[in-house]
Amino acid sequence: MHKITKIATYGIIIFVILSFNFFLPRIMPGDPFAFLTGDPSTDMPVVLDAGIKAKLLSYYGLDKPLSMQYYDYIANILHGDLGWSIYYNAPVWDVLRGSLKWTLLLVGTSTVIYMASGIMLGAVSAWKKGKRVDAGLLTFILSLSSFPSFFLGLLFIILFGVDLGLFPISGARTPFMDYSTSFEEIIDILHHLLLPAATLVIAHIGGIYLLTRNSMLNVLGEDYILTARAKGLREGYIMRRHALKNALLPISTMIALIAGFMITGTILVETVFAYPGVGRLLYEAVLVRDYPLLQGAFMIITLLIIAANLAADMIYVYLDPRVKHK
Amino acid sequence: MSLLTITHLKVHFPTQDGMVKAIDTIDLEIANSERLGLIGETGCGKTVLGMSIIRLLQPSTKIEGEIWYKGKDLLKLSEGEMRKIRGKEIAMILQNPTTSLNPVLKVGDQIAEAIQLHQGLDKRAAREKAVEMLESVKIPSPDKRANEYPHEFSGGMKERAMIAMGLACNPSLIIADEPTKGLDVTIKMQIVKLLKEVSRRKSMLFITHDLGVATQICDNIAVMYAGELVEYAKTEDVFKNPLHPYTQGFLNSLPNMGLKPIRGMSPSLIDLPSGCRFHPRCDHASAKCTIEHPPMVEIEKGHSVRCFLYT
Ligand SMILES: Nc1ncnc2c1ncn2[C@@H]1O[C@H](COP(=O)(O)OP(=O)(O)O)[C@@H](O)[C@H]1O
Ligand SMILES: [Mg+2]
Repeated sequence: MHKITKIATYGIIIFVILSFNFFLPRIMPGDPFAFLTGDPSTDMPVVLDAGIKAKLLSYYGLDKPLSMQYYDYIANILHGDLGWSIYYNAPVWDVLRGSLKWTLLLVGTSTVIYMASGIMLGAVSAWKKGKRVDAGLLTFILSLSSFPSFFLGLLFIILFGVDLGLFPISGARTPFMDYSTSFEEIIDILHHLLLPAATLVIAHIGGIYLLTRNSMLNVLGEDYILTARAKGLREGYIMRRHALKNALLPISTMIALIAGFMITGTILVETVFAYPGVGRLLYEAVLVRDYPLLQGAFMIITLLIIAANLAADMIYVYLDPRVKHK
Repeated sequence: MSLLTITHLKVHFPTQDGMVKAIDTIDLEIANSERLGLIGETGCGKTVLGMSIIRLLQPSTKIEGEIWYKGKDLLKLSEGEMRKIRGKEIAMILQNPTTSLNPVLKVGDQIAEAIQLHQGLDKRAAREKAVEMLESVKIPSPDKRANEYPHEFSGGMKERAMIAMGLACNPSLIIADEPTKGLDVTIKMQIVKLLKEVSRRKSMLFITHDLGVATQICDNIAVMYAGELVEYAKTEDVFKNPLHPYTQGFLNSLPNMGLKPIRGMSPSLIDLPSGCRFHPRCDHASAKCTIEHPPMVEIEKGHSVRCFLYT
């Protein structure tokens, strides 16, 4: 019963978001061809005349009534067809696939790093509450995290990329490079990854750090922590084995929210570092009003978030034995 | 021979509203193989006394006095030395088993970890010992139960698991804090029987506000009021010949003695009453009681009381 409602909920959520996906770009002023025809809302020179524009609109089905477009949109998605990117003149899925792997690499690495270090530092801070370690960590992490991520990104580009010349300032790999070994290729990719990943980590570590610290402080006031101490166990062991697992419970319910923040962060960071991921693609698609691409990118992001939620649900069940038996 | 000797113990908590004088002042002895009951109303400082023996109070607590255990003053030990005593020499069974067991760890593992730590057994041997412990507190199918989580246990079962955890490393002194609270009568009697059995040839400080339960287990009873002891006697003497008006009132408030509550409320531990701390609620209070603090005086052998009626 529980599982069925869960699946139904996810189904409804996906449907609602897909609908948003359809209507949101169409509410924005302008249309995909304004960019090419020199609509006053953009600064582009005139390239298309009105007749050709009408033909194009009809070619992409954009002259049909909205309800028909919506029907086609849903039907196509169900067939796994995300449509044709107007700007790239290629199937949306092909355009997305190229950038998805970079986003997964960037978001994956930085999420693992900021989650692990944020949770660890938050736990240490709570354990040493009021002591110098805690005060130091609190000040350091919160001041780091108070930089907006795009500002931090620009700072990194100027400092480490331009001034010191230590890191490339754009892209995910060196263009037209022939790698002699795959090791060399990996090094090149990591080299490109480091600054954007560091920016994401710094921008997001503060939230998870504070969350863990708070949650841990609550847990440390619980009776079962006293029981553990009464057994003569060491503090470090009590933190790891008795406190942390309990402290992670409320955090795993916040993963949806965290994933939401992560989207904005990723779009900004990918744009600033010209990192060829889904975020930057989305940004471009908005600029040129490429509806199909926009919808495709949104859909991918939506599915990623829903996957994150699913993972969070599973983590919760793993952490809390009480929910399995319900 | 006394196993534990507490002298001039004061435990004060600095708070925003003032100093909470949770213990002020207690002298107490527990002999080898003695089972001592500590009774008193909620909030009189029983738990704090237990916690100060195994030193589990928060670091900001002001503690004075001495707690001698097997030739060592526990209050002077380092944290590392104290850890070797907790669970191994002195075990405390905390009040409220529902919140005192970790909800995300298996009951068997929670028992085994202390065994592993203090007895140097490996994981498997410790687990086997944990199952034995569950069996010794009469939990049916202990092997299966060891793999379950606390929420799968009933209230009485949780209390048994707490007791098994306390006994796991064969401590010399057990501090049991209200182990029968909140249990219905049948289960309560089972737990009492169990505690009586497992504390044989051990010393136990049995904290309760249930005098009926204390009489079934304890050799002696110390009556506590507002952070100090007001009467100390053999269990039967407390019943047959209660001296302190508070003890008399406490007996009269028992269900089978008429359920007559003592008038008034227990005093604030921040602003303790002058003179005898019980005088605002006492029917025998004289002018002297409002000014002078009565000392604890031994009226007959093994029976002491803190009251001017007897001096
Ligand atoms: N950490 C603390 N800070 C301030 N006051 C405390 C603290 N712990 C206990 N107290 C106070 O000490 C008194 C005795 O508490 P306790 O020993 O728990 O009573 P009980 O006899 O019911 O076990 C209570 O008034 C309680 O409010
Ligand atoms: Mg208590």
